[in-house]
Amino acid sequence: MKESDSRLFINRELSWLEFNQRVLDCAGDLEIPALERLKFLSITSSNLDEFFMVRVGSLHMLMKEDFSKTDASGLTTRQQYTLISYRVQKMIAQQHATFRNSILPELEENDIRFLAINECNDAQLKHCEYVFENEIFPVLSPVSLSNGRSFPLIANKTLYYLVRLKPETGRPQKSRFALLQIPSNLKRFITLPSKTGYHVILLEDVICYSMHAFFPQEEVLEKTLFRIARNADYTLQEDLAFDLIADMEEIVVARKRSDCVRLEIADTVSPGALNYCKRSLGVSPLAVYRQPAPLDFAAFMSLSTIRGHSRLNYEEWKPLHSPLVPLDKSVFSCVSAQDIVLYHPYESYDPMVRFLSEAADDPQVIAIKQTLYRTSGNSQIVAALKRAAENGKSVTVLVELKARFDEERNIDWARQLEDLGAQVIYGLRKLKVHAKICIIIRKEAQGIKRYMHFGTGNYNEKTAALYTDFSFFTADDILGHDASLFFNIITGYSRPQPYHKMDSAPLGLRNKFIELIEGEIGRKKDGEKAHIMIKCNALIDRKIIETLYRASRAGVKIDMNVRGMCCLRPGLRGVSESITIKSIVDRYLEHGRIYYFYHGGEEKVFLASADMMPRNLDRRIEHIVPVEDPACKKKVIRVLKTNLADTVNAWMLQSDGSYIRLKRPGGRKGIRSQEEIRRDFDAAVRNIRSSQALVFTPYRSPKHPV
Amino acid sequence: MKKIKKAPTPPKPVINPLAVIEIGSTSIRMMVAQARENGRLEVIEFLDQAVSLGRDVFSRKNISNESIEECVKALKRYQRLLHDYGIHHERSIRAIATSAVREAFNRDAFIDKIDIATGIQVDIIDDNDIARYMYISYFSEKDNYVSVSGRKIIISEASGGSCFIMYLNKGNVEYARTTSFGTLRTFQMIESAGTPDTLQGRIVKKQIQRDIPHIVDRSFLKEADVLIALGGDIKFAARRILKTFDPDVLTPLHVSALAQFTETLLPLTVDQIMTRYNQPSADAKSLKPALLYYLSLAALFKLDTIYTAPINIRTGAFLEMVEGGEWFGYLREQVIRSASAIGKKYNYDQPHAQQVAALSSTLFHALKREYKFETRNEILLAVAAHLHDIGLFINTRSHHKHSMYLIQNSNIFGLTNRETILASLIARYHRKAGPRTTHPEFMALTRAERLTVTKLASILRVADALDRTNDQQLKQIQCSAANGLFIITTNTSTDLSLEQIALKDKGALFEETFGLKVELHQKIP
Repeated sequence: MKESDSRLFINRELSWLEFNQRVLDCAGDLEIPALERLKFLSITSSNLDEFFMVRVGSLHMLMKEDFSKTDASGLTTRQQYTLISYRVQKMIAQQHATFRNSILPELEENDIRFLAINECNDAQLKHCEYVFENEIFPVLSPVSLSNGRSFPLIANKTLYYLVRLKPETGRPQKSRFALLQIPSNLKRFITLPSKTGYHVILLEDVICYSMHAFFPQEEVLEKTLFRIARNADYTLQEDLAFDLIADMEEIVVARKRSDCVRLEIADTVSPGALNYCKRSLGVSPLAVYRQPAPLDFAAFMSLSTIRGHSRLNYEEWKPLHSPLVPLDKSVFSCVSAQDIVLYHPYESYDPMVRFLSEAADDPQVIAIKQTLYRTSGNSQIVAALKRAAENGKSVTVLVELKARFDEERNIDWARQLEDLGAQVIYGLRKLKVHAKICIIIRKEAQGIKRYMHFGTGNYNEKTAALYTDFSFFTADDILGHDASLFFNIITGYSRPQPYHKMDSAPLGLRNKFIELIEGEIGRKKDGEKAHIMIKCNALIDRKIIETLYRASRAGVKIDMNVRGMCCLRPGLRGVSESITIKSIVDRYLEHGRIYYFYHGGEEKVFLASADMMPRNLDRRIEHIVPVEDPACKKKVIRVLKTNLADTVNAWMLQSDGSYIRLKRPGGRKGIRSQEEIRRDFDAAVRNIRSSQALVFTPYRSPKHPV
Repeated sequence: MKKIKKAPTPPKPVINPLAVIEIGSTSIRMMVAQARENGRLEVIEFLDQAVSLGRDVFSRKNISNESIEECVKALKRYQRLLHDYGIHHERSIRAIATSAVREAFNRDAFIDKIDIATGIQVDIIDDNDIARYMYISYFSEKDNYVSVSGRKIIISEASGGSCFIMYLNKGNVEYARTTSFGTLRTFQMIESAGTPDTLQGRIVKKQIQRDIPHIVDRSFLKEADVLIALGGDIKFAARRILKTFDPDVLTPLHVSALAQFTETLLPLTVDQIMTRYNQPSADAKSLKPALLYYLSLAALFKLDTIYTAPINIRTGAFLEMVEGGEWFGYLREQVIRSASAIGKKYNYDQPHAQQVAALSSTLFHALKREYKFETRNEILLAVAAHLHDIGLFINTRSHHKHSMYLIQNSNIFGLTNRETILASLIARYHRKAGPRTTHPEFMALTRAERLTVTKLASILRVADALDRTNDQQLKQIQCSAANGLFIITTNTSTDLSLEQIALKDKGALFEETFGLKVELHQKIP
């Protein structure tokens, strides 16, 4: 079988759904605290929203265009669409079962109760009525759909009630409908007065209870909650199924209107109301997901952090302060002395913030260049950049905004930076800047010196506390040259030139990966040891997968930790026997990318912003940087190996595309990599601190400083 | 880029960062670098912007307004980067332009527009500047070339509008020249002839085989052991042929592998090369002619290896800036060697030439402080002293005029074209009539240049007179000036009557110029 045979590829959409299933499995894992499980459940729901808006949305569009080509796995668009629908139906059922049977009972045991209206006592009922009259009723306005009036524009990801009213006298056959939008700015959960714990009621239940207030002198026959997902705004999305068709962009341009790609509707809906809804929204049966209440678990995220129930959350892991960057020392002096790798959120993100903050006020710093992807205006990083610009430093910022900038309110901070004299570049045409590089140029006594930070995660303090990512600080001259070149290329100051050590997409990253894999193949064929270890979030790129198959056929051992989508089938006889693929889902979102190649014993280790996806390799500006310092390399390899050894929150990908959660070895406690890494780092910090000699530093009079 | 390994205490820099901007036929490149104490330079930034100057000039002889705008835009971007490093002063920026600008009819307008729009002053460099910069670049990294340094080396670069070739024997320059063969020029010529895309590769091959004898002067370049090819095209090929390639070190490339790679390129159109290798148009056009040129050169000298090395004019220009434009000792030596090689070509009297040069040097130093001679003047005097009599090769009559003509039409390594003219005039005035307003070559000089020529010719005349018998009797002389006399004292006991007579005749210009009457005294021990 050729490496390019479609049977060797897993469909990426189905693989993505398997990832969401693993998150859902965590929601049902009784060893995880209940509120954390609620969080996992909420994530599965918001993940699905995005999946429908972007991926299913583009498949939907392709189907409408009668697109007939197949994907890498040999499935047509319609086949994919159908398989997705079946898989999601099953997943939704499991979401509700998990909520009902696993999460709710444990919350109730801990005095957190979701009450139905008929479970409320008088005081609670009275509170509901008060909230309805004062906060809800004034902002809700029903829309009558009588006389054959079509649906108004239904907002994306918003709850609605479809209300069926009693037909008019004399026209008994003619159903009458009305729509009631539940504005998303209203709180979804209403806290009820209670002496026995934390009691909440859902907003939609309160509305439902008082529905008659909107339709006086009418008889309400049916109240059905529904919610839709629309095609994303294609001009803003990069993760469409462009990999399926080259001329997709033309279709996108031609079709401005966003279709409804999913209808979630309460399973109590009558056949008549359902048909009316489907017809009005123009959805096919496969796009309808009937389910029990409640809809939209994504909104439950806010409940997962309610105060006073810390026993239902993970125990707190405070970020460790790396002794390599002590608080009483300048980050520059630390980086000048040695390369430093930090692994967040186990280790504090503070050195990165300090790095910029010190630069802003340091008279020796002459220039700062940085990429910013998905950064909010109120971040300390942006504040430092503003201060640097104010202090007259040359600041160049390449901003990648979440949305088109004239629509985005938080663009203000970028404009402010510009007003302060910074050079702000608002992204590149057809390419998203996903690389995370910061250069600080200092004029020191010894000459110009550059300090770099290469990250695997965004410059965002909030996500740095939730995602596992690396920070790599270095003052290496050659990497400084490469990093400068990177900025010169993306700012249009220079045409592309070969890098010395690092590499970037879309120019040469795929080839770099392939060359490195080919290197292992060559050495294996020469009878040498060969080993590849990879930790990334997705493996989809066809050319890279084909090269990995060839590597496996040559006997190269390949261990991978792919958190999300993976289109490679491991363990196939004669094709991918030497490949193992594991996925970890735990309290932190696994996000850092590590690429390791044994390289004849030299052990080449790279940190990267890119996954092995066509979007990363072809449509984004990404970077990959080698970690050469022995201590840094050792640390990264240690993280990688610990990840690969996980037996607690790890799932093994099977050759049929399914995942099996690893069973813990009989009776013994398995390896939970995130816990292991935390313990490791904690011990390392203690070791270093205890090995440092105790020095007393007395405060002296300025007259006698010594 | 020079690799600087991280050290706990980095060496102190000699100066602040400096920038060299090179305006070529297909690109504008800027190098920002800082000098290290060990004499090496550390490249901080290297930028490269594509421009179409060659396309304009090689076909229409003028730089179009669009291309001027393109250059201004690129330079303004570079300025922003220079601002990051606090490089503002014109003495910290050396902007040079090569063949495309040099050949453009509207070159002055181009330079003025750049100056007005950016404040950057561009110097058009000539063949001799290129040779000098290349040699400095080579010499600054000579440790890199230990493996080949004792051998006969050809260093060559085929660029868009010209082709540079330098011949080193045991590390010494024996020949350096820039010809008008250019890769882009060749491609444009073939393209303008309407040659179908698919045949262009073969035609280029034939054209280069025809051009090679004009590029390589076999009277100088008889044999070579090593060929070092420079420029982006050979590095591009090396990156694709070799598994690992470090452009910062001397790297051997097998001719057979290069030939094989070049063969795969020949059937490809420019568009195909651009797409397949992600190359800009100008680079895609120059690739085939450049590689074919290097292969032809290797074949001519029967070499099975071509080396690539990090030698370029930017490094040379940078290091010269660091030294403040003064001659490096090793470079001075190379200029003299080059002059000697020319002298040999015209069967000069080497002992006499060397004697005159040595005496000139002594006289020069005796007068240097008083008359504020620039260090660079010494090298002009030395070249003129070595070559003052080469006109005898043509005819004994008016041989000083033949000397001037021959010097002007020789490539003296290390001298600019302007300096070559000055050296030729100094030689011309070593005998017979002194500088006059009726001499057009002399009057074409600036006032300062005329003064330099007159002063140095005066010295040369005296030095020549002191070896009138051509037997190098005056081994050591001492000079002193007092009371309107310039006394040259020697302790030789031989008869100096002829020298005394010659001095009477040839010392007149000296007296006229410096206001000192020259006298030769013999101090008998």
